[in-house]
Amino acid sequence: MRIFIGAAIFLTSAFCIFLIEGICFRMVEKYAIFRLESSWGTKNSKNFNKYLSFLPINHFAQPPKVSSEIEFSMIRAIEEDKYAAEIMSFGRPQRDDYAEFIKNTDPNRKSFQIKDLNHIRGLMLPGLKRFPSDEEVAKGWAGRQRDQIEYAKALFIDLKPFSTAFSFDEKTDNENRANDYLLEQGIAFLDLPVQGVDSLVSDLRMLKKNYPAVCQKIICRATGKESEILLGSCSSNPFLVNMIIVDCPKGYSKVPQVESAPWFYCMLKKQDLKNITLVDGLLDWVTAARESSYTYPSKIGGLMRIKDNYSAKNLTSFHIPLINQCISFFESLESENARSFELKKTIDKEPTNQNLHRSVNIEALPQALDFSKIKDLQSELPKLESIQSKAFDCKMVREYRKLHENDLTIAQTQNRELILKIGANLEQMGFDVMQEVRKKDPLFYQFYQSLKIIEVQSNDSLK
Amino acid sequence: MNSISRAFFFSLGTVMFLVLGLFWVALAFDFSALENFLLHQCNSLFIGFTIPQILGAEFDHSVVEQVFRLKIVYTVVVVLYGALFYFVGTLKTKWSSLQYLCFSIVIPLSSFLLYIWVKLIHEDHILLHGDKVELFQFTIISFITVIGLTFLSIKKDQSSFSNTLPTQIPSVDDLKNDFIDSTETSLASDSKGSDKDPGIKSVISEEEQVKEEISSGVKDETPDIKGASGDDESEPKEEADGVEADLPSPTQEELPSDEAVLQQEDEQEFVTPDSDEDELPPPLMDELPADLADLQVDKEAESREPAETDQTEPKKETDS
Repeated sequence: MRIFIGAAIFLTSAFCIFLIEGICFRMVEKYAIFRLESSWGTKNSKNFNKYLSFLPINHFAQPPKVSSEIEFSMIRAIEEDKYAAEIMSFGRPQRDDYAEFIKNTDPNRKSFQIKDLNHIRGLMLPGLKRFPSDEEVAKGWAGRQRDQIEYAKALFIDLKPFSTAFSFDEKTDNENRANDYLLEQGIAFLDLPVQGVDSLVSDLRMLKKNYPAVCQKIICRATGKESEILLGSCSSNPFLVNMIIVDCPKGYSKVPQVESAPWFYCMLKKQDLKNITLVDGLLDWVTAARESSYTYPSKIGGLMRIKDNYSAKNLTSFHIPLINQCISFFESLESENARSFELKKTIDKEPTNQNLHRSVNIEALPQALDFSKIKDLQSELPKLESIQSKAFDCKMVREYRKLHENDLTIAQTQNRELILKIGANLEQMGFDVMQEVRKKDPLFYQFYQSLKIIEVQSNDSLK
Repeated sequence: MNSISRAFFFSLGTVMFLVLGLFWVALAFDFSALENFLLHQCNSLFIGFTIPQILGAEFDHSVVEQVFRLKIVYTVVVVLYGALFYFVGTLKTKWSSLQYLCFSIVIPLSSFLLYIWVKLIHEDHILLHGDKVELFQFTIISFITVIGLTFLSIKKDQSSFSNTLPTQIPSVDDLKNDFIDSTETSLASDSKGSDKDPGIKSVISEEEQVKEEISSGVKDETPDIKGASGDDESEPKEEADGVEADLPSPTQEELPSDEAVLQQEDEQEFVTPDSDEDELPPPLMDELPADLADLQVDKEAESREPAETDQTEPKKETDS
């Protein structure tokens, strides 16, 4: 009885400690940052805290695996969303403050210095000034050491469509408050209309040349079509920008093959998940941004969130703690001149599914993918330990492999290829045959229908 | 009083079940007011969450699903509390029913508070200042309620225990009376002979037998006393004392050996103070100061006078 009471008291007190610690982490910004830095070390550290890593705290959450074991990129995108929410949990107190700041409109707005540079208008500076270092004087940032220079922690550029270039003054209160928040944090702000990749690159270079102390670190945000321009410019000039934020992009570009890629954060609408090629492309950016030897970018360098009616409101503030971490990370690298500007060494990647080009019967193409049904059917499938790849595993594939046990080419072929091949043959045999197969192996049918949609989308993107 | 509380709890439980029935019937007949109430519940916010979200609904659930969830949760709550009221109605003591009612508030409230905090800690949910104030108020009120009710129930339990304990511990007078009663009843039982079943005698220990005899002795005697004295409770005690005084005390030979020893000890205890006074010799006249010696002489003279009067009075009585 005494042991039982002792165990009960121990468990209750442990739970209370866990709860109080959780409340502090959720509510107190300083404690959340302290716990983060205790777990991950300093900004330029390459190893986790070896003692704390044994504890089940969310700073050590593992990012979703990049492998062919995941059938559809949509599933990986959902996993990425969960991972991003968990790993960025330390930023919630700061996001609370930001949301509160945005909500409370201040009638007595602070006046910040606004500068124009050729066609670039409305560069808002936070009003920070300091004396330049010898190196900065040598670079020509200032005439002499006694002359103060205007600087900022970073420059936040919001890319706008060129059509709205002359309507920037008509901002909503929320937009003004968001700008004010950044300025109060010491981050300069600029609304920049973009026409194309080249114009954006030239504008960024001009800003860096004219305001070097302000544009040491550049964070670019773009929405819709401008996202494609931003990604295109960063693909060719990966060191121009330190962080990329894309909101519901319409397209994407190739991932830059550099060792120190810019940080990447993208928001996708739930409806956009059906666009498999887009999701695949953005996931490649996310993965590339996380490929780093440093702890911070390897964890939060590349993140993806999925927007819906509920989370859209919360996600308006998600980038704020990420920006702060990004700025302090690059500051620490610059102070030690540790940032690598080298190209990435070529690594043999696993063959991805997105570049396959094949003719598909479009007539019987389903309207949408039903992933929930696939998940249910997969859970019903009996598990076999001998199977090498679990992706696109179904009864039909198993039987087909059993029939062609001695055929080496089939043994080496992926399940996905087999499904497409078998499905195409069955479709040629007739509609009734396909319906019978649907009854016998519904998982195979679902896989085939889903793969058909993906094939059609990838063919369209290649065209 | 007990029957009134029982009737109250039974009727409360019944009302709850009737309300539940009415609730479902009204929903089946599409009562717009009730539907609006449920829709309002679906849209109303608590610390930034809607009520169905707090009750476990996902953000992408439709309004119909959310309303259905609310219906189910309300039904479960009403059924549980209705059953609880029925159960409380069956309890015999007021204290236990109050205790159950306290715990019926404490346990769900503390569980809900913990659930809310765990949900907040683990979810990616942003709190505005208003939400934080709401959360703080809810936490403080719940915390005070939970602690207060728990403390109250524990304290009351202890106080009732401390009140009942002294009443259960017999006083010296009670023990003495019980002892006297036991001796009387044992004598009476001896005189009656072996009326009791010998099998029972073998099972019951000596102490239990004594207790049984005490209780039977009291029960046997009290009706007669009550019958003689009426309803007043104080009188039987006095009369019983009078009966005790009338009865001759048993001799040491009649008592069992242990009890005889006890009686001897009692007699010694009662006698010793008198004997102590007798044993102390009066101080000598020479040892006292002159004033005190005069006083002692006066006292001796005074004490002689009443002694003489005492001696004369019985004579008068005998003469009369």
